[in-house]
Amino acid sequence: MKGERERLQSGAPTRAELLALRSRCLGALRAFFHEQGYIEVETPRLVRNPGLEPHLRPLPAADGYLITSPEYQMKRLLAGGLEKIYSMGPCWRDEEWGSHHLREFTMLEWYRVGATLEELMDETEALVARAALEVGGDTAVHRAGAGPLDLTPPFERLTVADACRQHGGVDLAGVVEAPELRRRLLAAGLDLTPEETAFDALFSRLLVERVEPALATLRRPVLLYDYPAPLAALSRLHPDDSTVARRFELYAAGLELANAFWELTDATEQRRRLEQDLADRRAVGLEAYALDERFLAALEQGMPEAAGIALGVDRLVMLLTGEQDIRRVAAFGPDEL
Amino acid sequence: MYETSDIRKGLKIQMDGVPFIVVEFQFVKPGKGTAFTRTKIKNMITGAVIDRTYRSGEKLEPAFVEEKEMQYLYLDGENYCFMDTSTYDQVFISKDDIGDSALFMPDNINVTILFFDDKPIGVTLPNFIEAEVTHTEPGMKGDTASGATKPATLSSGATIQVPLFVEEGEILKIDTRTRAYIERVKR
Repeated sequence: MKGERERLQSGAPTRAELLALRSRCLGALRAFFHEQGYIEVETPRLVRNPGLEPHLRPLPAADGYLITSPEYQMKRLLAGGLEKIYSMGPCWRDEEWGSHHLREFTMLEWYRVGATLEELMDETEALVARAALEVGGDTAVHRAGAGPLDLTPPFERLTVADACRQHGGVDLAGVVEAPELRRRLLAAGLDLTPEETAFDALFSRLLVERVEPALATLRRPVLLYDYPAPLAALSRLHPDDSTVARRFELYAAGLELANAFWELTDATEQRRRLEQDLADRRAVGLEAYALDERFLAALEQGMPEAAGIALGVDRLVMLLTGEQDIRRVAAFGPDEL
Repeated sequence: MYETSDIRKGLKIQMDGVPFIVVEFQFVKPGKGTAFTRTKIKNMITGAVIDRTYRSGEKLEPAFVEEKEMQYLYLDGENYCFMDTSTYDQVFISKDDIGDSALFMPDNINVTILFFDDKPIGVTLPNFIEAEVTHTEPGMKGDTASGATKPATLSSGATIQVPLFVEEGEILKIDTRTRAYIERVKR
């Protein structure tokens, strides 16, 4: 395996080589989980109630939808007594395409009962480093147009507030209201259209324009954690600071690789957030799906405390092979079907 | 109007009455966040490239830009006259709109005229032109070793740096993108 990395750097790998490296990566991921005592679960890909996140577009299929993530079903398994589970398989998000997006992509999602967000960070770092060793023989990966990226744990860990202050020139501490966020972004010189008034849209603008480009230049991957409370999604708020949610994202070489939650287990709060998602969907003219009552019932029954994470496998393969186009790390890209 | 999903390389849009062409784009979507398309767009008049990030749902105004090959005829006071050699239609473009590209535009040369909303707004020169040296000081014999240069004025109006052996009356080939001397041309 030694020497593999140099070979990868010497020229663009062929499609066949990329698929072989991808296969090796998948093997490393599965080996890692089995060594850690996880079991692989195959949850359904076709479901009745899709995810409700306002910025995702589930694909209709047969009498239901293709999953945007296996989250609801995996959490039902946690409520049912499984403690360490992972799932690796295709997910679908319509209207996402480009060099970092496939409509059908491979998602690795795992949950661990009793884990803290910090323990999940450690595990994520170990997993990525392990896959890097397996695929390329070492943990230094090549980046186009920049120096090598060092995947040796620990990665850089940065709160969202620190990242926005250091790389975005915006002090976000304690900000949970959209008008205040908008004022601060304008004061920091961001160019906003009058329509950009929602908290998540404003925050996304800051991330895309300032923070993500800066993170892409760092020599190590970054775990960005503690998101503003309005962006909690399915994560719990920080026990000591209710303005932030216990959530992290992994960035490496300009790729957003994974999103993790210290999972929300409170059924009432979960229902409130899903109803808010539905209201947000209706407000922008998107289809409002029915709530997944079986998922909510599982929370009511009692979902144990857990941390969980979803990682884009295609992007991980891009990172480990230096490939810039996600379509080339898939057996067939969308244009080839 | 275009949607952000219409963004492709080569798409022509306008902002504040200026036509731009998309030279690079990428769909981006921060975790759980809203989608954007990050672009590099080129000002079709000045050639300057700028970064612009469009939020999904934002509308982009199309620019109807057309290119036509025409022949440069003459300068009439403040305006340059060009002719479509098949229809003999003539158009005029002001000195201001052409800028110093005009210094590399010998008489009767074929250039590409940019029309925005049917109005001629700019000129793209061919990558290479040929022009006569109308003035240059004689070079010193034997001083050709170190790539030394001297100024030379061309029939098109520009003054560029040329090797010392170049003499008045010679025809030179010039790269209009770098505005640099390439070689002497024998006639």
